[in-house]
Amino acid sequence: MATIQVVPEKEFQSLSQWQLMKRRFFQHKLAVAAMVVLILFYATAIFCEFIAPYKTTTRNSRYLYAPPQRIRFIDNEGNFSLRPFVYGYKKERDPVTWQEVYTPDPDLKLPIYFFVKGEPYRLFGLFDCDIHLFGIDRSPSEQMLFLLGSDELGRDLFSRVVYGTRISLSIGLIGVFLSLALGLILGGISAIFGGAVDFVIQRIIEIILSIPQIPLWMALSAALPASWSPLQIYFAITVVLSLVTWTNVARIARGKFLSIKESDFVSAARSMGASEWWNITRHLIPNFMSYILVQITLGIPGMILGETSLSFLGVGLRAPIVSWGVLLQQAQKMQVVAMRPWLLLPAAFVVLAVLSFNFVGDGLRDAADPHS
Amino acid sequence: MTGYIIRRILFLIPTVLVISIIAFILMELPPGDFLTSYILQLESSGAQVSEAQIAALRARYGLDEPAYKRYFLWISGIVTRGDFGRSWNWNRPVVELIIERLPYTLVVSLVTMTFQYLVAIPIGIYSAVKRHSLFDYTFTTIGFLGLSVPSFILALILMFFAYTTFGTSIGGLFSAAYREAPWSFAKFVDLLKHIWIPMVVTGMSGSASLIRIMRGVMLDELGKDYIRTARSKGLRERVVIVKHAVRIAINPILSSVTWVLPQVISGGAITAIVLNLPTLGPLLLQSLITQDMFVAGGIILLLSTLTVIGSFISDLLLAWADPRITYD
Amino acid sequence: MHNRKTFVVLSLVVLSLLLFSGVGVFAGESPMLRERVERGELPPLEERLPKEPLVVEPRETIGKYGGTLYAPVESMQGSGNDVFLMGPLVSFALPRPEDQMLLPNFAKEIESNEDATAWTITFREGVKWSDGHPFTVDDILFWYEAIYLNDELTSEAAEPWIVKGQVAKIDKIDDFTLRFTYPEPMPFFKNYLVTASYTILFPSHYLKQFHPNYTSEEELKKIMEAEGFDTWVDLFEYKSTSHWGIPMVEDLPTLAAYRLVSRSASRRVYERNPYYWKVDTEGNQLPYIDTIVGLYVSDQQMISGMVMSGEIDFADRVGLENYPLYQQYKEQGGYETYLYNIGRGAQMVFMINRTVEDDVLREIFQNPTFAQALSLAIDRDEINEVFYFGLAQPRQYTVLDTSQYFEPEFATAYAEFDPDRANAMLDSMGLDKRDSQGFRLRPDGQRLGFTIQMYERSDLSIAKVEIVMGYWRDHLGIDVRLQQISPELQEVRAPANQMEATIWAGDKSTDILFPVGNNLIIPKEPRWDESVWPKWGLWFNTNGADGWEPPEHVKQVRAWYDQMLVEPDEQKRIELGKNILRVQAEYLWQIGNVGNVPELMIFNAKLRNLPDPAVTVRAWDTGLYSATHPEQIFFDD
Repeated sequence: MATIQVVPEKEFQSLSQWQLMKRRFFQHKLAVAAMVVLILFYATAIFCEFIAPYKTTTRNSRYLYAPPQRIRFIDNEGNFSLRPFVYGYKKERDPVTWQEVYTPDPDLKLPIYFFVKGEPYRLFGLFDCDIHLFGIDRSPSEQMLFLLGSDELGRDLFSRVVYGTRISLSIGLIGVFLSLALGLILGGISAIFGGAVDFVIQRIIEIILSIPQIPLWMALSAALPASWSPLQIYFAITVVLSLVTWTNVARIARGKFLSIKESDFVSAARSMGASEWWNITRHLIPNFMSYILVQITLGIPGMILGETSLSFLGVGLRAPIVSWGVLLQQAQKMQVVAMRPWLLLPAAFVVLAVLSFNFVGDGLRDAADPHS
Repeated sequence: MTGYIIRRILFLIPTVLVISIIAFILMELPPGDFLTSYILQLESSGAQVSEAQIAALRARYGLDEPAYKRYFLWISGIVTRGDFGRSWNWNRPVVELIIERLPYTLVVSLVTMTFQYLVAIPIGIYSAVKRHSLFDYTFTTIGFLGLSVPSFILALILMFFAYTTFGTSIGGLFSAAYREAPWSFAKFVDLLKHIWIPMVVTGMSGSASLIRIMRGVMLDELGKDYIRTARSKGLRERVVIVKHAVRIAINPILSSVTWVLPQVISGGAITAIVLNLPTLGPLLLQSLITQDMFVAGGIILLLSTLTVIGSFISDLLLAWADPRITYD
Repeated sequence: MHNRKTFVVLSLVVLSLLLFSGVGVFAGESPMLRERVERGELPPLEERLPKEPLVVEPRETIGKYGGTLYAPVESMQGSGNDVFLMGPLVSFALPRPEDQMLLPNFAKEIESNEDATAWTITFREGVKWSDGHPFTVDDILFWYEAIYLNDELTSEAAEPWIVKGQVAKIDKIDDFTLRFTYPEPMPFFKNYLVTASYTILFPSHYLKQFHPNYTSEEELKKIMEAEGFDTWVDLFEYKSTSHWGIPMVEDLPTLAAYRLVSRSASRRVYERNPYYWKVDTEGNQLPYIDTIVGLYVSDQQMISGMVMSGEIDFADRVGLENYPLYQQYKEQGGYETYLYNIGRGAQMVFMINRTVEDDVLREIFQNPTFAQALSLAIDRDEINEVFYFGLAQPRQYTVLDTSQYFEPEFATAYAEFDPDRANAMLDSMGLDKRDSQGFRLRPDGQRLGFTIQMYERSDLSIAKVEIVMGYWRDHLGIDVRLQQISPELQEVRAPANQMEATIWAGDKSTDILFPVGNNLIIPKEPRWDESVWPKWGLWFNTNGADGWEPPEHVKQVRAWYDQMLVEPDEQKRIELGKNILRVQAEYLWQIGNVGNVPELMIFNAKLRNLPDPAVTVRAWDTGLYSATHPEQIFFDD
C-alpha cells in the first residue's frame, strides 16, 4: 500500500485511491454482505407496492392478532411440494382470558404464488398494476397471508413493514444529506476563514453538542405545528434530526479541511497562484469524497433510530403514516409484549438496517483509511 | 494551568447564557400555551371555563407580554433567586420538582457511565491486542448490535423478561415494598434488581462506540516506536501494554466524557420514560407535551448546563492527565 | 318524596343505635385515630361525628379498618385514579342509577317549592372540616362573597349556581339551611348537584387568611413572600386548589373522606379525614381504608405493568381490549377484573361539521341523507367483535335504554349495516359520479372526501377510527383522511370552525346529564367538544350577534331545550327531551359506533364491598363511583 502513496501524480493518486478503496472494501466480507442487505432494503422501499402482498389498510377482521404463519414445503402428511405454502388458521377463543387462539388448519393449504394478481395499485403514481411479487389466491376463502402475523385490525404486518421501509429509510437518507450539507458548509467556512468566524461556529457547535440530543429532538418536534400535513411533518422531522447531527460533520470537516489546507500539495497549488476556489474544487473536495461517503453511511443509522424514538415518544410521525417507528409505537404495549410479541418484529428490521449501515460504514472507513 | 482553568471558566458563562436562550426558545416554540391544556383538563372533569376567565388567566400569567420580557423575567428569577418558576401542572415550584428527581437522574447516569467504561475499556484493549481474533469479532458485533437496537424496545423486553423470570416489579426503581422504606441493605438490593435494566439499555449503545475508540487508539499506540522500543528492551508484554500503551490511550477516553455524558442523559431519558423511572426524562416529556413551559425549560437548561460542566471537568482531567497538552 | 322516606328510615336506624348501645354509641374508629385520641391529639369520635351521620349499608359486610390503597395518577395536579375512587363524595345528592333516584348525601334534605323556583338545602348539623372546624352555610356564603363576587378570582362556579350569567339569590335560613331562589323554575336543580356541589364548598376559616377582604395587605405580602407568590390571587388559588372537593394541596381542610398529607414528584398521599361524616350500619366511622396513595406514572402503558406486578390496588378504565392480558396475570398480580357500565350512549361518536367553511362540503354535510348514509355503512357488529368481544350493543347515539327519554327507534335509527342502501342514498343526493379510482366526486368535480382530526386516548384509539374510515372509503367511495392532533389543538380548532370532522366520546346520555349538559345534540356554544356546528353554537351563544344563523329545525331544538330547562311539569319535560332526541335520530348530529360498552376496572383481590357491577354506572354524570359509597371498600385478609 505504501508504494502507491509515493506515486507523485496527484490526479492519478485520487483516482487510484478510489480503486484501492473499492478493492479494500470488497475484501471486507461482512461489509459486502451488509451492502447487499441495504440494496435489498432500498429496492423494497422503491417497489414497496409490488413487494407487499397487501395495502397498509387491507384488513381481515376474522384474523385479528394472528401470529406469523410458517412457510412450509412439507405438509402434515409428509408430502413435499416445491411450491411453498402456509396453513390457514382455525380460530378459537380462550374461555377464561378471551384471547384468540389460532391453530394451523391442515385442511386449508394455501400455496404461495409468485407474480400473483392481487390488489390494484399505482406504481410510482404512474402505472396501474395489480401484480404482486408473491401472495396467495384469495378467492376461495377469506384467508390472508400473514408472514409476520397480523395486528389488532387484522392487517398484514409484513405489508406494513414493507411500506414503512420507504418512510424510515428515506428519512435517514434525506436527513443525512441535509446534515452533511450543513456540516460541510459550516465546517468549511470555519476552516477556510478561521479567526472570528471559526470561533463563533465552534462555540455554536459546542453548545449544540452540550444539549442532550433526545431532549432537544423532543422539544423541537413537540414544537412542530400540529396543523401540518403528514408530508410536512415528515420533512420537518428530517430537518429536526439533521439540525442536531450536522455538528459532528462540521467538526470533523473542519479538521479535515485544516489538515488539507496545511498539506503540501495545496500550498504548492497556492504558491503557483491558483485561486482559492480552484484550490477547493480541485484538491479539497476530491480528497474529501471518501470521507463523506463514510459519514453518510455512519450518519443514517442515527437518523433511523431517531425517527423510531420520536415516533415512540409520540412527537414524531404518527399513524396513519406507516413508518417503522410508528409501527413500534403502536406495539409499545404490555399486551403486545406479553401476548402478541410478533408485533415487535419491526424492531428486527430497524436493527438489520442500522447494523448494515454500520458495517458498510465501517468497511468504507477501513477502506478509505490506509492506516487502518 | 491556573490561567487555563480561569479562561475555561470564563468561557462557561456565555455558553450557559446562550443555552438558556435556546432553552427559552424551545419553551416558546410549541403552538398554544399551557393554558389551553389546563382549561381542557378542567373541562374534561366537568368544570366550565368562560372566555373571560381565560383572558384573565392569560393576563395573570403574563402570557400577553413580549417574549424578551418573559425571557428576562425567567432568567433573572433563576440567577437572582434560584427561582425556576412554577409548574402549573404540578402546582409546585419547578426547583422542588427538579431537586426531587435530580439525585436519581445523576445516580442512573453515573451508574450507566461507569458500566460503559468498565465494559468498554477492557474489551477495547483486549480487542486491540488480539486484533482479528474471534474475541475481537464477537465484541465488535455485539457492540454494533447494541448500537442498533432501539433502546425503548430493549427496555420494554428486558422489563417484561425480568417480570416473568424473576418476578421483578415492572417499572420504577423500587418494588412496592421498598418504595417508602428507609434506606437499608434490602432496599439497596431491591434497587440493584431494578437499576440494571436502564444501565444495560442505555449503556449498550454507548459502549459500542467507546470500544471502537479504545480499540482504535490502542492499535495506534501499539504500532508506535516507543512500544517497539519497550518490547525490544525485553519488557513483558503485559507491562508494555498496561504501563505504556494504555496510559497514553486512556486520554482520548477521558476526553470522551464530553460527549458520553450528554449521550447517557439523552439515551437515559427515553429509557426512563419506558421504565417509569423517577428521573428528569419522563418529567421533561410530559412537560413538553402539556406545555408546562417552566418545567421543560428548566430541565433542558439544567441538563445542558450539567453536560457543559461535565465536559469542563473532563477537560481539566485531560489536561491534568496528559502532560503533552499545552494551556495557551 | 321517596328520598325523604328513605331518609327517615336511615335516621331512625341511627337513632335506635343511639338509644340501644348506650355509651359506646359510636362503635368504632380506625386504630390509627384511636391512638391519636388516646394521646389527646384528637377529640373522641362522638365529638367528631355530626349529629346525624350518613349511615351506609355495606354491600357485603361490615369492614375492617386499615391498609393503604395504591392507585396510578397521570397528572399530579389533576384528577387521577386515586381521586376517581374518592369521587365527588361531597356531592349534596347522589344518583342511584338503577332506579333514576337522587339520594341525599352531604345535604340531608333538598326540597323545592311548588314550581321549583326556590330550592332549600338542609345540611347535617355538626359536620366538621378535616381540621375539626365546624361547617356551616357561612362557608358557602364565603364562596359567594369572597370568590364569586371578587373580580380578580376566577372560580370554577357554573350552573346551577349561576344561571344565565346571574347568581341565584342565596338566603341563609339558619346555620345549616340555605335557600336558592331563581327567577324561573329550575326543575333540574338536583341534576346539577351531582357534579357541581364541590364548586361552592370552601373552608372559609382557613382561606380567609389568604384573602384581602379579611387579611391586611401587609400580612398578605408576608405570606406571599414566604410562599413565593407574586399576587394574592395566585396564592389564594394555590391554597384552595381542589378537585371535586378533594384537596390538591396540603393543609387545605376538606369535607371529603381523605385529606392530602404529602406530595412529591412521584406520589401524593391521602389520609383519612378524622371528622368524616359517614358511618356504617354498626356505627363505625367510614372510610375503612386509612391511606390512599396516588403513584405518578409517566405513561398509560406503565399502569398495565404496575397492575401485573401487583403494585397498585385499583386501576380505573384500563381498556376492555386489555382483558386477555389482565386475565392472564391475575394470579401473579393478586387482583381481580371487573366490568362496569360507563353509561355512554355510544362509545365513540363521529361528528361531521355542519358549518364547515368549504361551501360544497357544507351543503353535502347539511343534507341529513349524507350522515344517514355514513351511519348505514358502519358495520357495527364487526366493530363489536373486533374491539369489544361482542359485549357492546350496536346502536345509534342517544340516551341509555333505561332513560325516561328513551324510545327504541332512537337507538335503531340508521344503525343497521346496509351499504347498498347507503350508496343509493348518496347517488340520490347527486353524488353519483366517480373518478378512476372509484371515489365519488363532489358537484364541483373534486374528489369527495374529508379529514377527521382527532387526538388519541385509550378509549378513542386510532384503530377504532381507522376501521370506520375503511367502511366509508371501501363501501361508499368517500376519501376519508385522518390527522392526529394534540389535545391543545382540539381545544383551539373545534370552536374556531377549523375541523371538517372529528370524534369524541358519546357520553352525557344518562338522565342526570342529558337534560342539563348535553351539548352533543343541543347547540349551546362553540366548545371543544361541540364540533358539529361551531358557527351555530356561536350564534346561539352571542344571541345572534356572531356566527351563522342556523336553520329552523336547529333553532327548534334549542327552543325545546330552553323550554325543558324551566318546564315544571315532568311529563312535558320528557316530551321535550324526546323531541330533541327525535331530531338527533333523523339528522344524526352524532354518528355513534356501538353503545353500552362495559369498561374494565382492576381491584386488588383482597378488596371487599366493591361497587356492584350489576347496577353501578360509572360515568361523570353519576359522580363516578360515589353513588356506591366507595368509603366502604376495605382490605380483607
